Amino acid sequence: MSSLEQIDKRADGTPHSRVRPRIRVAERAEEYPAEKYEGEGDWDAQANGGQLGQIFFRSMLILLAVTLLLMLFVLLNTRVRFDTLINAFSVRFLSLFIEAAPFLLLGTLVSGLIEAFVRREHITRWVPRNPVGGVLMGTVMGFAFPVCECGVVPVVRQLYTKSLPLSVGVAFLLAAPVMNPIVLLSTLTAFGFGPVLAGRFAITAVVAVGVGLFFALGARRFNLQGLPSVVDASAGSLTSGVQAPQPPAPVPARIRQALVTAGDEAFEMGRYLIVGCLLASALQTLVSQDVLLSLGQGPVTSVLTMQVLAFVLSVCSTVDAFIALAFAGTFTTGSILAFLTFGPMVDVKSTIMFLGVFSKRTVALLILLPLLLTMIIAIWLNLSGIG
Amino acid sequence: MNLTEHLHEHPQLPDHEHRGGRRREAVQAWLKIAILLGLGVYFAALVVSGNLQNYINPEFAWLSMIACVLFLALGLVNVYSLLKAYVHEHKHEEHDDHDSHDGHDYHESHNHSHITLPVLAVVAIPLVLGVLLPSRPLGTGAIDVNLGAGGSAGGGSAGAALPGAGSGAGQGAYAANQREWHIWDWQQSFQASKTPDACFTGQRADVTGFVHHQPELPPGHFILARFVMRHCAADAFGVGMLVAYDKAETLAPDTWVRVQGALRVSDVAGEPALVLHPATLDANVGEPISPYIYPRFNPYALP
Repeated sequence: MSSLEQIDKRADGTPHSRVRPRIRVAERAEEYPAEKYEGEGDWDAQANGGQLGQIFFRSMLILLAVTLLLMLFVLLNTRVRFDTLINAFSVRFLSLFIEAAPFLLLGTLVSGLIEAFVRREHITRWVPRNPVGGVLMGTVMGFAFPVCECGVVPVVRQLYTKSLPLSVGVAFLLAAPVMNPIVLLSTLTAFGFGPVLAGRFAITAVVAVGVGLFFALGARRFNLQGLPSVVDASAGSLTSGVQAPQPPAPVPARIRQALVTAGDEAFEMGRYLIVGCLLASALQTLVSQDVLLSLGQGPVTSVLTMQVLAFVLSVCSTVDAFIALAFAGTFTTGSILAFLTFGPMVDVKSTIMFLGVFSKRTVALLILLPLLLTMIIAIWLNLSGIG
Repeated sequence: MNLTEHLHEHPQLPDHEHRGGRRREAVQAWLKIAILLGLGVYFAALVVSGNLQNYINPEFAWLSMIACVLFLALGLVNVYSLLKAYVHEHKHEEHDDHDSHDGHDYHESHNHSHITLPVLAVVAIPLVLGVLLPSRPLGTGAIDVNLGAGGSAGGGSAGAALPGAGSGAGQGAYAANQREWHIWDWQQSFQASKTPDACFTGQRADVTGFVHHQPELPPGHFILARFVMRHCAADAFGVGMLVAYDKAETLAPDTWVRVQGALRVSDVAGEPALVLHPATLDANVGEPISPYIYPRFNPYALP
C-alpha cells in the first residue's frame, strides 16, 4: 500500500472522502517524512477552501448589493439629493481606502518576501519544546514573520509538518495577525499612543497565550487535531505548497517573484478590504448617529455588535484599525478593542481556511475561545470605565 | 506541442487546470496590470493636485506616497513578467526545443495568477469612483452637526475656560488669538465655560465654514459648519456655529462663507447656544485649501 493510500484511509481502513483528506497531526516528523507527499491531497483541500472562499465572497457582494439598494431607497424617500448622498458615501469610502492601501501593500509585500526567502528551518530551530515557552514564542513570532490572518494559515500548515506542536501553532495563528510591526504601525497611525494601541496588543497576547495553553494541556483529552494536508517537498522555502520543488533561484528572480506574489495577494486581500470599506461607508452614510449610539454605547451590546461586525467584514488586520476608527466616535472603547482583537483572530475568511487545516472540533474551539475571552475582557473594560 | 501543453508534461510543475483559455488569462493579466498602474497614477495625482486633503489628514500624505510607489512597482513587475513569458513562449514556439530551457525559467515565466474577473472588478472600484467622481470634501450632505463642542468623539477634552475672562488683563493679547480661532475652538471653549454669557457675549469672531440649513432652525438663521478630521474623512465629525443672518435663505448649501461679527449666547431649542451676529459676510471666499479642521490633540492619549 502506497503512502498516499495509507493517508487516504482511516485507522480502521475505511476510505476518507477525496474532497478533504483527514490526516492526524504528526507527533514526530519521522512519522510523515516530507518526501512521501506529492501534493495531491493539498489540491483537494485547496479546491474545498477555494469553493468556500468563492461562496463567502459572493455572499459579501450580495450584502453589498443590498446595501446599495438600501441607499437608493433612502434617496427616493428623503429630501437628500442624489449628488450629496453619493458625495458623502464616496468621500468616506475613498478616504478609508486611501488610508488603508499603504498598509495592505506593505503586508502583501512582506508576505511575498517571506514566501521567497524564508526557510522553515529558520523558524523551527528556535521554537522551545517546553509547552509554556513554546506558546509564548508562538505568540511573538509574528514580529519576525509579519503575516495577516490569511497568510498565517498556510505558514502554520507548513510548520505543523515539521513537528511544530499544535499549541504553538495555535498561539502563532491567533497572535501573528496582530503582533507584527505593520499592524503596530497602522494602529498607531489610526489611534496614536493610547489605550486602544496598548489594549489591542495586550488583549491579543492574553487570548493567544490562554488559548495556546488550553491546547497544550487539553489537546489529548479533547482529541483536538490538526491536519498537515500540504507539504512543500522542496529545499525548505516556506510556501503554501502549491508549487512543486525547484532549485533555489537567483536573488533578483526571487525578488521579482516576491513582488508578483505580493501583487496577487493585494488583489486577494484587497477585495475584502474594499468590500469592508464600502459597507462601513454605507453604514456611516445611511444609519443615523442616534441608531449607532443606541447600539454603540451599551457595555454589552456594543461589544457584541462590533464582534459580529468584525466577523462579517473580515477586513485584513493590517488595515482594520481604520475601519474601527470610523466607529470610534459612537462605540465604546471596549467594543472597539473587541473589533480589533477578535476580528484578526476569527472571521468568515479565516474560518474557511481553518476548515482546510483543522478538524471541526478544533475549529469550533478556535472560534469559541477567542470569542468568549475577547468578549469578557471588552465588557469588563466597559463596565470598569477603563479607556 | 505548444507551451501550455509542454508545461503540463513537465515533471517539475504541478498538473493543474487552466481556468478558461489562454486568451482570457492574458486579458485578466493585463487588467490586473492596468488596475495596479492606474491606482499608482491615481495616488500620484491626488498628492500632486492637493486633492488628497479632501480625504486624509495631510500629515499622513507620506503613506499615500508609499502606496503610489508600491502600486507602480507591482504593476511594472507584472508587466516585466508578462512580457518575459510572451518572449519565452515566442522563442519556444520558434525553436520547439524543450531540452534547452532552464526549468527554473519556466516556473518564473509561467505565472498563473488566480485573480478572477469579479475580483478585478471589485479592486477596480476605488479607481473608478476616484476618477469618475469629482474630488470634493465632505459637505452638508454628510453633516450631523452638533451645535456644541462637536460630535461624540470626545471633542471637549481640549476645551478650556477663556483666560482672563472678565478681568480685562491680557485682553489685547487674547483678542489677537481669538481672531485665529476656528469654529471648533469657539465651541470647545463654550462647552467648557461655566459662565458662557459673561465670557462670550460681545466677543469678536472671524470664522470660515460652509452653509448648512436645518429645518428646525428659526427663520433668518443658518449653521456655519466645518468637519473636524483626525486621520481621514471616515472619522470626521461636523461642528457648527449658528449665524443670525436675515438673508440666510438666499445662501445655497455648501457655499463657503467668511463671517466676521459679534457673539451672543441665545436660547435655541431650549439650550444655550453660541450665535454669531455678522458685521460682514463674504460669500465669495471659495473653498479653503484645507477644508477640514485638524485637531491638535489625541482624544485617545493616556492622561
